[in-house]
Amino acid sequence: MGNWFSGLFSKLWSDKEVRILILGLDGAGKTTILYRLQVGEVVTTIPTIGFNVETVTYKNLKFQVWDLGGQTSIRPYWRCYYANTDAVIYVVDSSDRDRMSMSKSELVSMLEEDELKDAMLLVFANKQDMPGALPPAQVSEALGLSALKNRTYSIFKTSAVKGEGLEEAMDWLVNNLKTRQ
Amino acid sequence: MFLSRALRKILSEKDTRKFPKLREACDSALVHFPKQARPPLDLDAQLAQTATAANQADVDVEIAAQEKKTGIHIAASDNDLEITPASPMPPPTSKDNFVNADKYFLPFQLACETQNVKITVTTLDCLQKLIAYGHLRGDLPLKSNPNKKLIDLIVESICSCFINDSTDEQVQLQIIKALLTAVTSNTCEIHDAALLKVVRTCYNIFLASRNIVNQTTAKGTLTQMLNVIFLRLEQQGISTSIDA
Ligand SMILES: Nc1nc2c(ncn2[C@@H]2O[C@H](COP(=O)(O)OP(=O)(O)OP(=O)(O)O)[C@@H](O)[C@H]2O)c(=O)[nH]1
Ligand SMILES: [Mg+2]
Ligand SMILES: [Mg+2]
Ligand SMILES: [Mg+2]
Ligand SMILES: [Mg+2]
Repeated sequence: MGNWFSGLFSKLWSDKEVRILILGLDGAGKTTILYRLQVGEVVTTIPTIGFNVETVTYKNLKFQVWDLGGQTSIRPYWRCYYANTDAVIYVVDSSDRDRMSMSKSELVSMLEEDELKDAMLLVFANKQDMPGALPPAQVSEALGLSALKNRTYSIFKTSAVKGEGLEEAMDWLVNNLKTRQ
Repeated sequence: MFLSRALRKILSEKDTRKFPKLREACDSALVHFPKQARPPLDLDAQLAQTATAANQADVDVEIAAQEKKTGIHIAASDNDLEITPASPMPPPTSKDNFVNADKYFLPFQLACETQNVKITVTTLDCLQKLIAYGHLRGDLPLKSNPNKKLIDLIVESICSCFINDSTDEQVQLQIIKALLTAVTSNTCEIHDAALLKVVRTCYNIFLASRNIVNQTTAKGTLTQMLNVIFLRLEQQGISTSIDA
């Protein structure tokens, strides 16, 4: 733990970037979120096969934000990117009820990884603008978030296309990075 | 337009001034893409953009030019996020004006040859995006050597940015990112010598990099590439045996 604290401390007080991974099933809105954060626009996305990585500045902090592909065949490569991760943004398509349990099992196996044991977790209940989107409380229940142990986490309702909820989430992240240092 | 935004982004790098040939190549490519007002958005895109429409109308087209003027970022008015100098991304209307970038590779090639960190990072980032979105395919034969295809030159340009373990870490990362996209893309085909060069470059970065994130990323990238390559070989094997 000590190492992690001092690592983060130096990151916050130096030019070192905070490393964030955006994960979640294909089509959940990960790439849309990355570029919403970076350029403040909705961009045309294509399914991510490799990875996107961009620097995002928020409240004078620098984040290196990584966005990985979520297709079934690509998910096995997520673990290659876990090293040195400070926070994971886990994106869920709240209107994709059929795949909630798949999303849960990917989340659970991700959180079991030792390399991520100190990483904070932000769950984005995304696509809240869609008719039939599950509210965050139900997404939280479907993912079994209340069973999480030893994890700093929170869930946010977001709409990447409308740009809603992202700032609240970033504020939470910044505050927690500061209080945990 | 996606391609012209990429070229303008390279031009907007301060250091590009020091490379007259590169600047010229960008300028003469840009002659083909005069700046124009945005075409009217379709309804979906309008809906998607309502939130930021006010300050966005012409920002896409102008972004590189403005960044050049102001030196730093274009701020969004309605939220707290500081907008960092954006890498060019296709705006929601980009499907309306698709341009094949293959004819315009020269500026990117020259940019890779500058060995300037900022220019190289920007250029590799643009190349990866152009390839990912299918704007750069590289399937034309080279004029200088009809036995080679443009993709061979693209791969050579990208790989040439890695020199040794003292190559800048951001450059290393952008090389890995671009190569992974090039190999896994379904719109460009990399074979033989070029494929070997890709694998060797990723492996060299994995071995040489002193940055743990670059090391693990290079390793993950190599794993994914090799899986894709063998999967394709198997599929080809199947189709050949069916043909036979
Ligand atoms: N209605 C709605 N659509 C969204 C939202 N966020 C993303 N989308 C759309 O969902 C689709 C997929 O978005 P992406 O960002 O490409 O999804 P991804 O998670 O990166 O997908 P992979 O790269 O395949 O893993 C796109 O058409 C987006 O415009 C949202 O909040 N609301
Ligand atoms: Mg995908
Ligand atoms: Mg994506
Ligand atoms: Mg970038
Ligand atoms: Mg999902």
